[in-house]
Amino acid sequence: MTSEEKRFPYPEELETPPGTEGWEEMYPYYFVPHTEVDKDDFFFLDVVHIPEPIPPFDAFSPESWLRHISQYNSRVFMLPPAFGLRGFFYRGYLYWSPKEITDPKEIEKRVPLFLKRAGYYFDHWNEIYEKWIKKVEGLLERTRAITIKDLPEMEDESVVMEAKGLDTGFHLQTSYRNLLNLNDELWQYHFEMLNLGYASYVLFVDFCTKAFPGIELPTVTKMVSGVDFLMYRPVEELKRLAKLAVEWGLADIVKKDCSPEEMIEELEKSEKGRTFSKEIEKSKAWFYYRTGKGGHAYHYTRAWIEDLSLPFRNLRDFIFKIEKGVSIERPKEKLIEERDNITEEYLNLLRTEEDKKMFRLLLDRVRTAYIYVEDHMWYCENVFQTLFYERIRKIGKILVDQDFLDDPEDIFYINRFELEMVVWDVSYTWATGGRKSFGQIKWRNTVKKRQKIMDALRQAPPPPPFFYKAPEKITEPLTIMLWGVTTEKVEQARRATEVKPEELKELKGIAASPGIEEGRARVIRRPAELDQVQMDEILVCPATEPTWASAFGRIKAVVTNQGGIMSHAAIACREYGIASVSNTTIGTEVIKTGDLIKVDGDKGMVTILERAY
Amino acid sequence: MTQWIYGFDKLCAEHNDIVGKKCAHLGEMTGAGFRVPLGFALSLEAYKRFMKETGATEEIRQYLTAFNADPNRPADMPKYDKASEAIRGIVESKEMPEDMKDVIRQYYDELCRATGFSDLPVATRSSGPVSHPGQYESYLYIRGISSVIENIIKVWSSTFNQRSLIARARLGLRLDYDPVGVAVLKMVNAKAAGVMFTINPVNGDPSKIMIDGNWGLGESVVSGSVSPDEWMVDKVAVKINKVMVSSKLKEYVFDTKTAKAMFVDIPPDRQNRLCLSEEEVLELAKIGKKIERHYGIAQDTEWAIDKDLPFPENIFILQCRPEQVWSKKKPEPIAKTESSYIDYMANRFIEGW
Repeated sequence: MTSEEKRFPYPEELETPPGTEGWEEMYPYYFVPHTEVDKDDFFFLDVVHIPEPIPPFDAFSPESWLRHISQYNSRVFMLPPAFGLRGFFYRGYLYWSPKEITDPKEIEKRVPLFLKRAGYYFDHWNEIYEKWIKKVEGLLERTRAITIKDLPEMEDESVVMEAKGLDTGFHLQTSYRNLLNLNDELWQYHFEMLNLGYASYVLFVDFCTKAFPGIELPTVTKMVSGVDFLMYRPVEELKRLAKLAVEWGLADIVKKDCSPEEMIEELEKSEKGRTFSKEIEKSKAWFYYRTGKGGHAYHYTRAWIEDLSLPFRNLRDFIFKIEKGVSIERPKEKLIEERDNITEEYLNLLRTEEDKKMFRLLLDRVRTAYIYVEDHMWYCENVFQTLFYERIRKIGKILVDQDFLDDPEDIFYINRFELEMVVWDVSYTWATGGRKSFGQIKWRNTVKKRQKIMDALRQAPPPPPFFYKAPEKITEPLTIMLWGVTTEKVEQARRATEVKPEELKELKGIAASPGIEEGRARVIRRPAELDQVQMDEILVCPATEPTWASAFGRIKAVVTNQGGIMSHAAIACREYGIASVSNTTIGTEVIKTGDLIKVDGDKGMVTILERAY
Repeated sequence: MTQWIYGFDKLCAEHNDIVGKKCAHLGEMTGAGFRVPLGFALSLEAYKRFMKETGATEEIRQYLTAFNADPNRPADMPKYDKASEAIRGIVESKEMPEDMKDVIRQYYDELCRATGFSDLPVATRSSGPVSHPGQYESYLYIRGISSVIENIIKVWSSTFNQRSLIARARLGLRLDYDPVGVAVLKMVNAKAAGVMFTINPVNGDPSKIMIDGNWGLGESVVSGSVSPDEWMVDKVAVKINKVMVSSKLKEYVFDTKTAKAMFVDIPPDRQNRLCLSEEEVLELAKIGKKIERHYGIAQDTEWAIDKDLPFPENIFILQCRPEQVWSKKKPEPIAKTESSYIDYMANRFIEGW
């Protein structure tokens, strides 16, 4: 086979699924494939973060990831062998392209710079993290301060009496631009410490697999993981409320299957109930927790604060558990003790003092860094994204008020650069006293067309796992660790076309969370289908987001096409004690709903025991 | 008078020169709380007393004055055969002094009482102060005090078997005298047995325990005459990582009539069945972990599961010794140079994954 043949498809070689024509126009030109610039690079599909086609506006989020992660490798910390990451959307799905620096001279030049720069961050990690929290909390304050005001029929008198000289349209334009700026600023901070945090994890895994060739990755993560991450706080708040409700004799009211409004109304009727309502208000600071269906990037992944039925459902489950006498406490001390025992045992198995010292050092650094790796999610993916989308929705309402759209949610079919133009047009149109704009026709049509395209994209068969050049070898540690994209996987995928999926009986993946379970499979391709999952089924899906955790109470095990050991879903599975095999690449193609399957989360194997038909 | 008999519970590794290696180790493990077969040890002093008080040593010396052979000349081998036969005849013809018999009887009776069997079947095994693997002889399934005494004498006499005489002659050691200890220990009525390494012997992974086992006595596994079942256990989590079931066609079992281990066919229904239950595997691994911790180095052990006893009292460690391959290598640190965290990180990035 010549090296020419060792490649993955070019986008133009693939058929365009009916109805999806024109999808490229929804996204910025620099973020769709162009064979003339991309053909010499390797691109892999990321369904971990983007499990389904991304709406045009929401695209700002993945674009920001790739944009703001890159310079930390290439121009800030000067990672010796790595360029930044290029990426594109193909049919609404996200692809990443890692690339290494291969010129030894260039690497050599970068080493002392890396030592000094990354070294500084590691040596001052906690101090820098404290500073980071202040920066980000400040940013969240500034985001909260951005108000989106409806465009009034007539400006308030104060504009005149105080001689302000600025109108509400101008305020809208500024607010939108400020939001975009805040978003970019946030993603800069997001990756400020994340790449190094991941690197410290990869380094520890690397050491462990050398010292203990058969060690399983969940075991390594167990040694690293803490128990007090911010991301546990929202759920801990619900547990607190559940305990109070039972203690105060309000369980029957809270348990009732009614709307949040009805529940609050019922609570307001008694003294105890009113106090409980106040406790709920106190907990709301932790309700900026985005747990709806989908992933963090999507506007329709709603936060608890936006839809109280989400947390209240969990609250009810906790009350049922308390009443049944089931403990709802996370056994923190036990988890810590277990972690420390395991760590101590591995340490004692090392035979040289040098290795013991290095093991302690690596572990110490990764444990410190890991707190950031977990907690940044709270500030960025949860609180900020909630505040951001909340404001975009208000702009959507103004677009409806000004007769540009029919539904505020339609704003998400307009990408963020287009929206800047629309906002300008809207405030101009408003300024003219409501004279007609062509925008009022153009954007309605665009939205209609794009709604159809998005529907067709969602219905279309899944996109290929890889594009363009087949790499000789994958060595970039984050690609391996976060997405489980290894040389072996890529090669396997390249050959997979030769095998019929229904003939496969076994799938090899990554042991993401320990345990062995048998059960009926439920294949879920899109987050919106998550409701179909029945009690004790095994969830088979492209990838899971931590936001899917709501389903974890019902299922026995999880099988995913993609996801490394560090994916947040893998961490969540381990926390919930659910067996999981990730990174089977073609799990959703091979397994059918109803198949009896066995998931071996210790070995990373999935076996199809019996076909549904 | 020097003490010449000890219960295992009175011995530890330091008694090597007094009772020989095997007894000292069995004592050490007994003391550390590991389940080894109950028993007692006759020290080197017992050998000396017997040989001296019965006049055996003197007779052997006299016999050897006329003996002249070259251990490196193949043609002289029959001479060693003949000498061995004669000397063993001398030793085995001697009656043990009555006072020694009495003491041994007391110890044997105690053993029978402790295990609840009259005429408890025991093994008499040689225990030299330095290892001579396979040189001396052990006798299995010995029942009743007179048989026990007879077989203790046989162990002593086995120091004069042909291969031992030749080995001593080659080393220039005296031929007439080579004191050894004797271990008298309860026979484990093995349902299954085998070996356990407290390390992955294939790649040296110290976080794994490997167990090989077959039905019957451990001999079939030790000698490699069958493909055993194999378990890889995570040493830290004490959890089975991998199980390999083998088709086990033959096993060693005791024939009580001939008092010999026979290599017999395994009935088809047991051939492909794992010879250990999961709880037995995990219990063994736990014991392996403790033994390794006790000795401070990876161990190579032999174990057996007694078919007459309930779990977990049925698991016995018969022997242990330091693992020979990986433990003997000088450990190479992974972090080769004394380097800072960030140096180490940079190096790993450059080397590639």
